[in-house]
Amino acid sequence: MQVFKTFMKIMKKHLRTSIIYIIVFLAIGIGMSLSDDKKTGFENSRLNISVIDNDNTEASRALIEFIDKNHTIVEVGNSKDEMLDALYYLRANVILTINEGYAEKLANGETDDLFSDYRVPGTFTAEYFDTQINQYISTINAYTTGGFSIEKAAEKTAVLMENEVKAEIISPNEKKDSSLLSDKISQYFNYFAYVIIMVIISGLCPTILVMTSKEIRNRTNCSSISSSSQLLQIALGSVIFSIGVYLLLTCSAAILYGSEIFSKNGLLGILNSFVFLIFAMTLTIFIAVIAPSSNVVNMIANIVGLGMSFLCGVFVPQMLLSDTVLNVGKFLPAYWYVKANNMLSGSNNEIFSNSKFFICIGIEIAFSVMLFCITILAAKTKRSSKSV
Amino acid sequence: MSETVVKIENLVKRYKELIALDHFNLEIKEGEVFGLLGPNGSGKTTAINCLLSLLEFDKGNIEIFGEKMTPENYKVKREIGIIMQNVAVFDELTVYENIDYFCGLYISDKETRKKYVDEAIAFAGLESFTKFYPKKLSGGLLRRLNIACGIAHKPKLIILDEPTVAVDPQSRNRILEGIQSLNKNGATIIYTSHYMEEVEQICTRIAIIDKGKNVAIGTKDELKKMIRNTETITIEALRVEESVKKQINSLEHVYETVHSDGKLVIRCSGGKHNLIKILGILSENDTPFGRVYSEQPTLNDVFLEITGKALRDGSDENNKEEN
Repeated sequence: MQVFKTFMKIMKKHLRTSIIYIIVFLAIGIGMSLSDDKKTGFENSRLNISVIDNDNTEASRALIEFIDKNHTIVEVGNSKDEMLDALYYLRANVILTINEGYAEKLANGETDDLFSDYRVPGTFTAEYFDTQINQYISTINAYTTGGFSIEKAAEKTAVLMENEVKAEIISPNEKKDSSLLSDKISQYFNYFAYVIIMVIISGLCPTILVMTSKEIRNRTNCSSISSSSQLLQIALGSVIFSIGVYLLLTCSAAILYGSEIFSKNGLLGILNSFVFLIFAMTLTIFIAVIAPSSNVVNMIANIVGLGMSFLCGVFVPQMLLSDTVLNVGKFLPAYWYVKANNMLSGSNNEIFSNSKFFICIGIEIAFSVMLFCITILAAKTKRSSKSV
Repeated sequence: MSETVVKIENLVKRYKELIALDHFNLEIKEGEVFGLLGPNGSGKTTAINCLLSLLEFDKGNIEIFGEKMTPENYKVKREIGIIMQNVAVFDELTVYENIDYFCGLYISDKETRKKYVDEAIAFAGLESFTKFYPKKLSGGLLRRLNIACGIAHKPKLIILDEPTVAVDPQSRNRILEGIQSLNKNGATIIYTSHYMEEVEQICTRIAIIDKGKNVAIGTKDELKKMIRNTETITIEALRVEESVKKQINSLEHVYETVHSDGKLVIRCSGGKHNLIKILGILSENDTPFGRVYSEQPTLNDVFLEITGKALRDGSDENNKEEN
């Protein structure tokens, strides 16, 4: 086992980068496990609005009521200086004056000169408030055109707009189906794809390159150890390292996320990541065969790891990626890995079914087999071109 | 009569159109320090690689210790130590770990291996550098480490492929002395080089290779006897009349007289007292001259006469193949 022992010794010298990746990944995992999912939600922005009602009708009071429901009405005084001070010190975002004749103009279908206001020009808050008021006025206008009285139209508009702003936020931990994995674990498994590629390539590739360099290979081939035994010992070292990293990351997930990992979907997630591990190992051997030197290994690892992750939805949910990106991603195994993870967590509107899940697993395995064949071909070509 | 350790018969190796070894034959006896001498690209490394089964050859037969050499003949491989032309050590391992690794490819017993590794370290004079990494070693020390890695398992046949390339004179002498001491301890040595001085210094028998062929074989004296030249006389003389050159050339043992770059070079074949006669002719003709040298033929002269070119005239094409 001389080759195996030396392989492990040399690998130890190349582990620095891998260890950094693992530490960062685990730190992110710990961060995710400590985050409170219940805080995740959606809240409308409430602005500070000052309203001066010069019309004082049912319609203008209905508008004030609508504003009060959605924002905070503040008193800033009536003088111009007081108003400007309030805007300057951000006590009010907008000072809205309802002009006299507001109700009458609305009833006649007119929408010009209904208001005058003070605001800080070009701010998001003012634009946001404008949009809301315009929508309110347009809706009233539609009702009055339809024959409703101004009071009735104001009442209906208030109800309608209240319904529109209602939004249902589903907490990640409050899935309807309890068998689905939480988003935290799903994200952990997704990031796993990137980390396992980077860790295995940066740890194994330089070691394999050293052990199979022309000088060392020739020298070892002159010895009384057969070349198949050498290859087996190198393969054994590679497998032990890869399985070790895999177990470390999987056990970390079990510690961080508890029993959920051992649910049916959790175990399927572990299976999915194991299949992806096989692909990562095949990719590592391929890079070790084609890389001209260990200096370029990190560069290749970054291109492959980051490229695949961004194209396949490891970092950004697949639902946010364009169709073109997703179509390209389909030619990479990470896409199918993430898709299978999404099925397990119900993310990205993916619905789990055994057949669909195992199709994804099968495609990942097919990618590994295909890459392994290409690797053998590349190794043969490289060897024959070197011997000439 | 000593046993044959290596026997190569009619070995042919082609790289596409290039014939690297052309019906190459060789027989090396036990206890010899056998030199393979030839310019870069002559086929020395190819012959060694075929001998070690690192290269497949097109035709021929190789026997080592009386057994056919194949990539799977691990019994024979166990008895061979190889020191490659390119240093083959791990940058990630210390001097001690490197020697231990290569020794461990042959010796599995830990105790024996430790003893052998320590002996190899002492042999190469690396006692003060056992914890050093190869990158911290000088070129000479690195070559010595390479040798220690190759001989640690105490092989019966040691093959050294250009072990002194890019080595300082001090390390070179140490390496050459080491090779002789390995031979005294019973190992048969195959030594390839294009440095004729080294080959002359340590080899008991020499084969001269050119274009993949074994053009001459024998001891250095036997090789020198194969050629016409027995003495080369060089005289520093700025001007030599044509009539004087003719007079010298007409001497019984002189077969070539050349004057160029202020030097008169006279090549003699057999006979004694040539120098006295030549100097007499120069004095009679009032030809002024400076320093005078008389040299015995070297292996370079042997190579020059046999192949028509100097030993260091390796063609670029062949260099590529060797490297």
